[in-house]
Amino acid sequence: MTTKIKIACLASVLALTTACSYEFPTQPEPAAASAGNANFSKHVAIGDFAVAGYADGALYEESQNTSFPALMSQSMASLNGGVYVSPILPGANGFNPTFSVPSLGIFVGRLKLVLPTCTKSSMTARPQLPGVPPGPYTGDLTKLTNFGVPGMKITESLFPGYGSLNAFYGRFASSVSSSTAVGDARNAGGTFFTMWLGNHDILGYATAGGAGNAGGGTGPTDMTDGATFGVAFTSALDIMLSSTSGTKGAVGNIPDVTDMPYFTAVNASLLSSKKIPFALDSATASQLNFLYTLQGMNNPNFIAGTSNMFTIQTAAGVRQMNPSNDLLLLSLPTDSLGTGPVDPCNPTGPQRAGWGVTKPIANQYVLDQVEVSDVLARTAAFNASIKSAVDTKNTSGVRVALVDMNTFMKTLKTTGIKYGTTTLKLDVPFGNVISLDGINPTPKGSAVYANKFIDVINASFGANVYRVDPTTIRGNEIP
Amino acid sequence: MKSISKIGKWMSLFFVITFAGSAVAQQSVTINGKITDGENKETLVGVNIYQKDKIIGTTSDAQGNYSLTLTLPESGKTTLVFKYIGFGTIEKEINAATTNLDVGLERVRIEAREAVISASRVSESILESPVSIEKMNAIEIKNTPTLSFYEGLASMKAVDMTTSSLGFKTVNSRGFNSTGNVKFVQRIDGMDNQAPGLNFSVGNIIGISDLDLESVELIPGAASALYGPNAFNGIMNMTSKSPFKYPGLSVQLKSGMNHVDGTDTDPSPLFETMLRYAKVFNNKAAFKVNFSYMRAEDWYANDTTDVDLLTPLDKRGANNPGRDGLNIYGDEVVTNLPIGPGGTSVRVSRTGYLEKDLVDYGVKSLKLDGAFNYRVASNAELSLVSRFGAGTTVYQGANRYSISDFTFQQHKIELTGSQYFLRAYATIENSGDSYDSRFLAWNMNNRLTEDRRTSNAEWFNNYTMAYLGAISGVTPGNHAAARAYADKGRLLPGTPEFDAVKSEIAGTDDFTKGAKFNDQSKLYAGEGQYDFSSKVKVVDLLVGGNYRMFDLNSNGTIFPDTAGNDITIYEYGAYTQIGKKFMEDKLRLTGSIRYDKAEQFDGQFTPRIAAVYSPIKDNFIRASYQTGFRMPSTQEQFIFLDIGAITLVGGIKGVGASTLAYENSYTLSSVQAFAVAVGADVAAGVDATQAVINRKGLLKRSNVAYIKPEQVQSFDIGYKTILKSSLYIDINYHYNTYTDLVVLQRVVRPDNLIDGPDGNAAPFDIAQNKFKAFQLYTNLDGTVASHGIAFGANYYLPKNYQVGLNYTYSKFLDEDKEDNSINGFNTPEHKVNLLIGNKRITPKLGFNVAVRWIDEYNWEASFGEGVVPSYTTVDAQMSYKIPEYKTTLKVGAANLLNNRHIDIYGGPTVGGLYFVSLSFDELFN
Repeated sequence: MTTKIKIACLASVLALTTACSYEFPTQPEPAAASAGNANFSKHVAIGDFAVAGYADGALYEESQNTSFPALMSQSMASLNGGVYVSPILPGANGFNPTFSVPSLGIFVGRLKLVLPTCTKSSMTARPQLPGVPPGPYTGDLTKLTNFGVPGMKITESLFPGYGSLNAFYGRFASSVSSSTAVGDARNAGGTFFTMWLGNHDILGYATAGGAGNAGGGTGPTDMTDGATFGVAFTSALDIMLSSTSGTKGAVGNIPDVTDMPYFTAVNASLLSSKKIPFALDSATASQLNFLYTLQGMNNPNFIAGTSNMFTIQTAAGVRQMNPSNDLLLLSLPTDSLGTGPVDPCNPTGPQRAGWGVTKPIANQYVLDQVEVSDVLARTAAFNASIKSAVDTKNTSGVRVALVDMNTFMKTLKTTGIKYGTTTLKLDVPFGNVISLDGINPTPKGSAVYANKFIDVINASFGANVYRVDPTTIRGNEIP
Repeated sequence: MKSISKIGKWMSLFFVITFAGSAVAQQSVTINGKITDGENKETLVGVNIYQKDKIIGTTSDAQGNYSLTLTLPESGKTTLVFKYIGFGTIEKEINAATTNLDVGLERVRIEAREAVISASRVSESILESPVSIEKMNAIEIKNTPTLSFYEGLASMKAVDMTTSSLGFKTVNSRGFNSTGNVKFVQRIDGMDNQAPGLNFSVGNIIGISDLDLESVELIPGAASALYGPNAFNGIMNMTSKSPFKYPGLSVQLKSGMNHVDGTDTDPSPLFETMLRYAKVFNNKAAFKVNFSYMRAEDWYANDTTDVDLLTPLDKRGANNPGRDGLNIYGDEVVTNLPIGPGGTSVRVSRTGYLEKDLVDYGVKSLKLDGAFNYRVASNAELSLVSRFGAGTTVYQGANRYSISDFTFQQHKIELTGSQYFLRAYATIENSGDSYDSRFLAWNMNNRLTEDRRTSNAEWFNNYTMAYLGAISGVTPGNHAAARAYADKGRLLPGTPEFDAVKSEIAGTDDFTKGAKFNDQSKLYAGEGQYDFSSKVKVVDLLVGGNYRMFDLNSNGTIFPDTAGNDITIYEYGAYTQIGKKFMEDKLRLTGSIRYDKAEQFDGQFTPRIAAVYSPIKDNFIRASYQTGFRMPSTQEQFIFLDIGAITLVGGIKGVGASTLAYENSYTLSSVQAFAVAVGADVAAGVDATQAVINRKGLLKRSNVAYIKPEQVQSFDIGYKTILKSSLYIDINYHYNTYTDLVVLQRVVRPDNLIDGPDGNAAPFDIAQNKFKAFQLYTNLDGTVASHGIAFGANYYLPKNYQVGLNYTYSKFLDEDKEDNSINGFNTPEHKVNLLIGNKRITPKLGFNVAVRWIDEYNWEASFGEGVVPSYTTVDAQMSYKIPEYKTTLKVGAANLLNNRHIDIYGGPTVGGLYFVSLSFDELFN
């Protein structure tokens, strides 16, 4: 307390008044919202899964309405922000491309946590019925402002006629046979854009367990090469910047996907449930060693005791996994893994297929150490390209704000970010940032992403766009 | 705000009334005389002689002579009052012709005829008091068989005492006792003696010395109608000796010994020195100074009973690896290690330290004060008072705190007349080097240095490895061996390393790594009263008001205050009392009403109505109804203290809201039940998520309300009589109803919202340790009641022998309603005191003996809950007067039979304390 206030307080005692009082710690009144030197009157978003609002393995109505660009637009509304329109794919469950079989007319929707059916089994994520087919968007295409296309690589975003290859784009492309997603986004004429493209250039490879070509290629499971990425990114950025003469924007870089639960959750769960390392008696150990040697594996190392690891198939052959370096994917059918009954409640029922023990886990379910290092190197290369592309646009004043989503994800993974009494982290489901598909954000996670973009936009453009309050938005619904 | 400025206006009016009329010049007269004991004609020294209804007066000198010059009123006559402790007060009318007036005073035997002020805030005899009141006068103070007058209060009926330590005792009455007694007000010369950061008086360690104490008046039960908030269980008014009335030098030297049996420590000496000097100048100005210093070895609290709540009773004890000794600190840090059969968990606690190795048992008490009094007019005395105290002792709150070099200052300016007073004062406390013994132990244990593996994580890891046989040379499966291994490098009491780390941590004021309190809170107060009885003839009318402001300054260590943003709390109140006599003065009715407003709470009225009926002489029947209330203490309102395992959060919304603990939490007991059930399910092979979902119904949402003042309604009836001029009897019955009692509630707040957007995220938070535990302050739902009887009889035998017997019955009527709150009645159901004494066996020799028996009772407090066994103590003293040297020799024994007992659960064991004192008094009689 300063001397001045103290004297005032003492005086108030003598004068029997109440001039002096404690000020409770309160949130400071937010400064007036301001657009700074940006113009948010029309906010356009271009990107892939997260921009579209893909979550829980599906595109569904709620997740699209709470995509992070949608939440940013809500905050920009007070700053002369225009109407924000996503090409909503309707339905509470939406469309889940992984589990649907369109050719057979089978459509299933988003994943949801369901209660275990027996006391020894765990809460699991299950796709919900009914799903919906990804039918054409019936709204006014000229009003659209969200051009997020799940599964779209940066090269594909510039490919005329991509609508015929990707139903998610096809349903709202201005021309299925000739338009590009970036072109459509540009033509929306945004005064400000949010662009987060290029994730799938790595994810397509990584989520397939490195089954595609790591060096480069355009196949769905190939990893785009660095040079191609650099060129494509610059042209996409140029196109977006040409939306109007003064258009500015924010660009996210590429996170290290191996931080994502899709790549970390299975190992963590096997380790914590003590399924690895697993125990063998000496007879079984020698039997396995013999078996694998026959298959041409070098020095199989099964020993009596509790230190044995699953075998994995890698490009270099079969070997035992190291859970710190070789990542089992969320797509792995865990009921085939190891030995023992599939259903813990029914010990005499069907038995597990012995994956990892009597036969190696297939390559497509593992991102092994070599593949992980390829992914990391490519991520670094992409991010260097992104930074240099952005830097060239900012030589005379900031036109493009660079949002370091890579570092941000590492923060979310390690310490998390505290909102109110809750710490939000990357772990699924309780971290509440990442939805049940292990990669894409929940609505709460989208709010966290939106705030990261807003923080950088505010700092870069001298603006004051209000942050979103994630505590009022749902994360993973725990049954 | 409006009522404040009204009080201000009223105060200025008051000044006008006070000084009006003092300007008129009148005839003056000088009276001389000699005062003697009417029985044996010995001269009486120090008798007060004053003009009735005025301030002007003097005292008799060493030869019993006095001389007083005063101004006669227009009527030409006035009354002189001769007053002396132990003698009947005499009034004599004088006029302009009176020049010589010798007076003989008669001894009174029955103290009940003495006057008290506290009961109605105006002078009246004890017999006529409309409410129950106890008094200890100057002679009783001198003759107390205990170390000081304060311990002697325990012999009063209806009075209970707690002993946190030799230096820190607190008094209470009528139940709901505690060691930090925020429900009982203690005042010295009208100044609230509370430490502002604590809201209660630190016993008498920083108070008043026996030499300067004129009287103690104690009202058991609610007295809010006249004394405002916190006079809830009772109030004690201590009055010091005015330098005008008690001039001269007095000195007391005391030497004693405790721990005589050597059980806790070697027999230890005790020293106390007291000095008082007062001087009067021309009956116009006077001053006094007091000095007192005491040094002793404190009582030891060394109950090592295992109180670990999660260990079954039959498994507790020295061999319990999860042991939590009551007065052992550091062993509360406990964890479940997977070292049992089949990897099951075993509760293991860290090795603790004994309290005696952690706290400072060297009790010190320094009291230093001075006063300057000036008679500005015949009916106006101005006084300036400064008191300074410093002390080292142990206080038992949630933990046992080593109060070390705690200092306390009070400064007062007061204007007093016979019908009014107006005072303002400031209290400034400084916690000095005080620290918390439990945090000291925790942080000493958890301190990681390069050469010591003593952090909790390391220690438990080493224990696990040693127990499982991973360390060569350590017997596997042996808890003692594992503990010995993990304890390697532990700081050992008595070593220089231990002392160095101890003093460093005790001096660090962040409880996550230190143990020090850092509090410099202040209290500013103003109070005034005017007795209009002489102005308004129809009724007795009294009006008063007060204002006070707390300025809490803990530097963020206890309260959420920060530099530049001290927490301040203001309170104000005003009261009026009207009294009238009926039926030829046989019936007196008084009604009081008081209004109070505190910053954080709504204003409220507190009424009192009382009647005294005296159908025949010396028989008084009294009945009263009153309400009392207590503002939640500064800590109950504002505390914000993260003590690791739990965070203490004050009960007002501004403090508690940010934690969400009030709105979004489960009761602690339900979380414990949930954890046990889930743990059992998982151990039985149930999937963890399944177990959480199946058991989530056990979690009970707490919905704690923010705090508000607590209330008591009290009915009191009593009867006092004096039979055959030798037997004094006082009996009373009270029935108290409590509403909104302030209680603690422990809750667990999940990180996510209960019923929030994420479904059952909250139960999973609990299961995953994503929660925070809080101790909240709130009010008990509904009402509870207690009642009690206090009976006292004093029989005055021939030859100055006196026998007193008193009995107190106290009973809480709603024990079952104390759910999920830590707030015990903490009062024995039966208590008996027997007092036998003779002040004058011969003119030189006197003695008294006090026997106290206390029934067994339960003590429930945040430190612990347990039984205080019944005990009997005998206190005795014998005094021998040596008139030639104006000196009294006193030999005394508190707890003569060295009957080791505790007053509070977890508190120290109190044994015998023997002393001898030598008192010199210039006003010796």
